[in-house]
Amino acid sequence: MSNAKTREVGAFACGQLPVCEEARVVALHLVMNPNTAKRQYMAIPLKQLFPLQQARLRRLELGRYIQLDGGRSYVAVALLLALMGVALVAQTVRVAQTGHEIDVLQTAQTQLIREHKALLLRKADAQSMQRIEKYAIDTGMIPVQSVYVQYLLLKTDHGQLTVNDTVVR
Amino acid sequence: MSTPGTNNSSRSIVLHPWRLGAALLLVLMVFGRIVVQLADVHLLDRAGYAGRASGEINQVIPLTASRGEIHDRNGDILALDVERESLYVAPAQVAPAESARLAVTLGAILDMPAEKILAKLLDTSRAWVPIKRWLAPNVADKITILDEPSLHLVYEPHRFYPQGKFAPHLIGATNLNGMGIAGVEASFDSFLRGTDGVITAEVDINNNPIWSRPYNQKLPVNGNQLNLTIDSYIQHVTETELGLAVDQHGASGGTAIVLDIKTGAVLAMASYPAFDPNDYAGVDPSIYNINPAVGEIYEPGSTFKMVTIAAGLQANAFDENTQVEDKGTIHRYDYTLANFDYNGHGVMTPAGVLYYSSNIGALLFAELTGESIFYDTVDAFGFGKLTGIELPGETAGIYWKPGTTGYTPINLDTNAFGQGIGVTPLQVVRMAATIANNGVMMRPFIIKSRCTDGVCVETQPSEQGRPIDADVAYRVRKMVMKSANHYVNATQPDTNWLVPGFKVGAKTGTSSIPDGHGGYTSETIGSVVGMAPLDVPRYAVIVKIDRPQDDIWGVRTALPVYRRIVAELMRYDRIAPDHILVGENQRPGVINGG
Repeated sequence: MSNAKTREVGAFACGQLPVCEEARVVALHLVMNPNTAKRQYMAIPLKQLFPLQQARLRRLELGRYIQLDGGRSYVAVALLLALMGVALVAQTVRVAQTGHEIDVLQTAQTQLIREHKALLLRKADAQSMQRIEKYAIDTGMIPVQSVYVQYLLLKTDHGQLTVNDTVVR
Repeated sequence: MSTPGTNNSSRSIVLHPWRLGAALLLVLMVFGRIVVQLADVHLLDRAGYAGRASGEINQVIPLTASRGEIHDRNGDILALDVERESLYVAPAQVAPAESARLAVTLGAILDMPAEKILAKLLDTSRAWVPIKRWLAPNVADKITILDEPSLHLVYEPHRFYPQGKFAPHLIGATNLNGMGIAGVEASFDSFLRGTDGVITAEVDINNNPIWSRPYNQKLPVNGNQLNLTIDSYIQHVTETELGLAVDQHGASGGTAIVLDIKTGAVLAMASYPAFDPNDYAGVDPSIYNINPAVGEIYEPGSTFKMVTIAAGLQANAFDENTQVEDKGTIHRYDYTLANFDYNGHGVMTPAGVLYYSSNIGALLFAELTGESIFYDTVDAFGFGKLTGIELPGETAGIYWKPGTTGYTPINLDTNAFGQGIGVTPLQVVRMAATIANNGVMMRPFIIKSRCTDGVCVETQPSEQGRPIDADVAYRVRKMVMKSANHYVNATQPDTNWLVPGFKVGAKTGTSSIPDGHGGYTSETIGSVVGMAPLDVPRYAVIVKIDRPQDDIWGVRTALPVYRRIVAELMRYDRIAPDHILVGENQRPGVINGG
């Protein structure tokens, strides 16, 4: 084959040539058969060899596929419905997500309110006079009674007597 | 070689028309049934199916409004709503073999009798049985750890009074339904309660609304906040001193009130015995249903002589120098009236009436005043009428006015020294506050401010009248100061001060308790009312000890409490004592014996 003189006579779509049965795109070569000393055509698949030609052929045939005539409107409607469906699904998913987020936030809010109330309760406990007194006594302090209080007289710069704040003895 | 496929493809299938017809009929019947069912579901019984579906999917979820908080004048929390977990059991889910063990375990955790819990666990007639409501967080945690599928913890709002037995008659309490039944909880129930909300929505398996589905929501409006006029420290001191005195004297109870003279604000209002509003189930209802400070009447006794003297001075029926003779007893309208000890104190002025607490002197001065002016003054001081304080169960008190069916002339004489007239402690302390406030009577109030959404409206002090002139008030104050000081040392009545370092007014009273049949029991009420400091009056105080067992006299039961409360008020308000106003062996601000 390597010694054969070949000449490419053109590229054809499969089906245009009788020699083509499987290859969809072939190059038709004119070769000399050494056994018969006759020239004959040989189809060589071009798929791997000539992708650009292949693409060109597909482009040439594309018109045939998009010749939908009356079917175009059905396709358009189907596409529209599909798009609407996608939009609806997307919207539903989004609403569901938002609903879930609201649910999570509300749960968090409820938890925070409970914590807030619990902290208020602790604060109120801490403010309780009885608890403060008990805590003071438990820690060894004694209630301040009037006998423990002494008021002192201090002299001012002008030599007058005045009374200061309470001093605990 | 032939394949099965080629054989089958080569075999001809013959479809008889009746088979096709039967198949078609079957299909038509199936579709027909479907159509009938669809018609039934969608047309004929649409409402029923829709209702059932709606009932399963759509739920009405109540949103409970949080009850408003109650604070004192300094912002300390006195009452608030918190959510606590309540324990319920679904008896149907309890394994019978495990019920006894579970009951014992729960009994230990909840501090409840196991038998009682077991009965609830086995009560299969009910789907949902409460075991204990509002558990403490640590207890709820222990229940959670049990991981028992039949036990359910549900959050429920609960009213808490974190300070326990603190001003319970004033704050009040709520019942299990969250309704106020006493104190400001009752009188401001609708203000504190708020409005419950509701969500109508499809719910998930956990009964949470599915927010992506249509829903109706009415948000709850939480209750409003009340700020009281009481000061926690003054209230604590008042309650403590009162409780000690009641216990010390074996008394049946007592009441003490501290009023702000200038505004009429109640700074403390204590009654004993008290109750814990968190747990009052076992308490005698008469203790929490009535606030004795405003709801119980008593005969004021000698404390009412301040009104008698003020009425005569106001009407110029007599002055400070007018004298009457107290012989100890006197005969009026077929009755013999007497001093508490039947001893006479001789010739005395109005100041002497208060000093010696002379019944005879008081009635003689009242007779000088005349019944018309006397009762006009009593009326002007607000006796026999509600004070208007924002507390439930207030009673107006009672006395017979001239011209009414119950009035007889002797009423003037007995009313002059505080018998035969029914008053409340709040009315008496308001009278003292009026004298201290130069004759201007302020309405007592307990609500400092009402807050809605953070916006607070302050209660404005309001004047209720001017029963006496400022000059008369000043003269009465001078008299009650001398009266107060003579209680300290009977042998040296004018050399000591009731509260050393301060000018303090006080008048004691010891009154008998009516038996309900026109007479009196042997039991008494000891009381004292006064104001301090007299130079620039700030506080009016009343202390009342009911039915003391060891000593009937108010001067020995109520007065010590009064002195300690006043001394503490002076320290708390940082009012410096005057070092001149001390007697021998007295120190400024120091009450002997504490």
